[in-house]
Amino acid sequence: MDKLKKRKLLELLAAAICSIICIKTIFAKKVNFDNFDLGNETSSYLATVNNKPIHLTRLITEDCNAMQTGWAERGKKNVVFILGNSQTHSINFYQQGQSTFPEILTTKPELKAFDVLTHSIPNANLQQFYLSFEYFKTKYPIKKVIVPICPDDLRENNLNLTNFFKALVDDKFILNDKNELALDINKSLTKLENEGNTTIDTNKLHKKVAVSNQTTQEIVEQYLNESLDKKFDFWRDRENIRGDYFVFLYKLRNTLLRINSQTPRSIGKDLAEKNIAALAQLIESAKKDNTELYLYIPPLRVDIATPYIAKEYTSYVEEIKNLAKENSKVYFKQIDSIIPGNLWGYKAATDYITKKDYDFMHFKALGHKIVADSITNFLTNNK
Amino acid sequence: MIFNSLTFLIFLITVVTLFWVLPQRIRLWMLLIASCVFYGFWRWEYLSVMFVSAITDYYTSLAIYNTPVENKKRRKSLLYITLFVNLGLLMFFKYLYFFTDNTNTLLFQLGSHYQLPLLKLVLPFGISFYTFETISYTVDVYRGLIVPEKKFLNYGLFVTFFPKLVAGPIQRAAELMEQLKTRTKFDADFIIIGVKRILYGLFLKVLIADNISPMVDEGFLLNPSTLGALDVWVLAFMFGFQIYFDFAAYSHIALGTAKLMGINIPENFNFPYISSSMKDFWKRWHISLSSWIRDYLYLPLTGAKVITTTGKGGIGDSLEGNVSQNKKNKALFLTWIIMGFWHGANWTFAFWGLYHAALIFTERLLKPFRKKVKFLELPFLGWCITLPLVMLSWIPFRAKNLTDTFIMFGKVLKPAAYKTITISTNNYLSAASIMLLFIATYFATTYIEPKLEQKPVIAFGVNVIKFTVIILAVFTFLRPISQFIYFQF
Repeated sequence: MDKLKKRKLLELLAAAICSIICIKTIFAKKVNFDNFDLGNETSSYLATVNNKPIHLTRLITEDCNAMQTGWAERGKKNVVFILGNSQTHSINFYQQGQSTFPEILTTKPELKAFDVLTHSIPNANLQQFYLSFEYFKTKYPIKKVIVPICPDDLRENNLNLTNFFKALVDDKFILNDKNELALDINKSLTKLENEGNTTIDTNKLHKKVAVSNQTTQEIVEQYLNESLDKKFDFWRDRENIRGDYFVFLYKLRNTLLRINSQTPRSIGKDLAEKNIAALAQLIESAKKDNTELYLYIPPLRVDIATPYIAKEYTSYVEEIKNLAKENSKVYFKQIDSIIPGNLWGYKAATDYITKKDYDFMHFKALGHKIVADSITNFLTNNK
Repeated sequence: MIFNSLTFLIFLITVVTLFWVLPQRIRLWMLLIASCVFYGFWRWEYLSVMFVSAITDYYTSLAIYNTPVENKKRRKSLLYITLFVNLGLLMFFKYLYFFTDNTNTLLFQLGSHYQLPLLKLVLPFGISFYTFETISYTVDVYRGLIVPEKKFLNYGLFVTFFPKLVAGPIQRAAELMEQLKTRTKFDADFIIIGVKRILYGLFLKVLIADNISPMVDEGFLLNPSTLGALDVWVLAFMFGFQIYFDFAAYSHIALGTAKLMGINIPENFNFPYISSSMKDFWKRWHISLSSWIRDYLYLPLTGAKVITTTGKGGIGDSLEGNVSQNKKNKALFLTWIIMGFWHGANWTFAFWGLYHAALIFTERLLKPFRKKVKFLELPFLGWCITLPLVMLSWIPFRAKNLTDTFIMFGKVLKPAAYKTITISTNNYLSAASIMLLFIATYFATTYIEPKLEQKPVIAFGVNVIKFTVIILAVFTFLRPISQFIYFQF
């Protein structure tokens, strides 16, 4: 073998060795991506009553069944159903014994005739709310639905069925409505149901595909991945490394463009089109069932400069308010400024320069108490 | 079998090891069986479709060869059998639904309540590629450019050879069969080049194309009337990058895989987004397809005689000889509509073909004028004009239907639409970063790398870092979450 070939071969070998060293050392740390959005200062809290869940994020069949058992044990009361985003299930600077507003609502005497159940999804969009409501109303006698309309969430369009609606796929759930949105959702649901892709984690290729539908490649690939996962930590850790890579890109972008939580961002009215349509469907669906719908503009940190453009924000609030006015049994409340500044915390910096950043979405436990009081008033007096 | 999977890597190591260990005759059988296994891992039953095409051409080409040239009628009949079977398979699997659906729409519009039954079939992977290969084989025998292969093993292997089976490059029999028949002596270069090409391909697929894909999907899911003009441009660029990195990745892996066995497959891409004209673009993009189209569609349509067969060169210039301009133009438009439909059974693809034909036609019209004004011949100016036009052509390629296509094209032409921005700024950042990286890679490969090779120590260090990054990325992102885009064609 001549010198050049030897060198080229050595290059590949040396690169392979360097890669193994990198995998074993630099990339070996674990990151909890479930709480990445929230930051270290904020914790997820999912309410329970008598050890039975009353608040779910990812709909897993076992959890859904446990929630239903709890509801049955409590006397199968009519339900106040809360749809929410990460604000609903997060407490800033959490301490033992503190709880979120959905849990506090269960203790309110004004609501003792009802069972309060919640489904919240980080960065939830209204299409997901519509799907969630349609699903839960087949399981519970829902009389009141509480829906926060958060400007950031309106820009989200991903249904994320595999992560947050696994139970629906297991149930082979299909929407009865024939509107365009319902047809789109049904198409996605049917696709997953046919594939049998009930994996919660799309980052791993562990497709639990019905054997009859699987190609030979899928069977072999699944077997190989599972075997490697069991035997080698570094193979399992690939998911973390992928997460690290996206975090790096995200922080790099924020660093280079000086983006932080206060950077003004457009509400993106055009991007919200599908979500506004979903809200209209949600209203229609609630009307059909004689269910009361409570829309509210969720709390926002207002003692410092907010990330929204004032004119856009006002117009968005007006739009939701008008939507409520136009429909009977749809109520509206604006509670964006009810949490004082001292009840809001910080989150870990999202760039490489600063150490921490303002958290506009997640407040401390006392904030949840304020929200619970306000929502109780809203539900009982429509104020 | 999908290239970006563990299954393929294990399969590849096994096949390459056996290839170099087994004696010549057995190793050809091994390759044929391996190729069938490769295909069957997707759907075993569709192997039969491939073999119907292969066996038809095997026998008709031998029959054509054994028929005296004077017996033109019989030779032509045999050629028609080949075309009927191959194009029939393609029509049945790829276009039947499209035609019945369109016929039903037409019947409905004419007031008829009769509707033809719609048959939605699974499109056999690679059918557009292997039927083109088998057709070209028989046509080349008919033209007297090659002598047909007597041993079915050699011929069958030409059709089924797994590295290029599902998405090309579309190979000519003369170029591949000789290599398969000859026992090549092992050379370390095969492994070095092969492994590098496979790594490049996997890197482009799993790190770049697969991560652009969600952004593109989300963008094209939006109602096009809500998009701004800049959004349309960014989506066009993003999909342009996705399809390029996806397809170039496949070609890299195909070439690398074949190289591991000492077999050369023609290059399919050569920095297409650096092109300074549409003609230049089609010499750099999907070269094996444009070369095929040139030899078996465009030139015959102009009436020009084809005197050689090669999968290289793309759509060239002045190959038509003394053909009238009118004939050339007709052939150009017809070729491109067919080229469009080859990519998919949808009017959007036909529009894509027409768009390219119109651009090439305009370029031809302006050629004498450009020659007079030197400034217009500057490659940089050509690039500045060609790149956006090429990227814009990806809109019909990716849009759901023609209505969406026209709405998006309309946005680009409307000055007021440049004031609105709807899609996430991440798309803008990604498109700009990828464009910069693409240009940087072009300059690094073309100008810096050759100079670096003269300084072995620095070259060694740089290459070790480069391949470490590539291996790490491939290790981290390797998962068959998506097939290659060109599988569906």
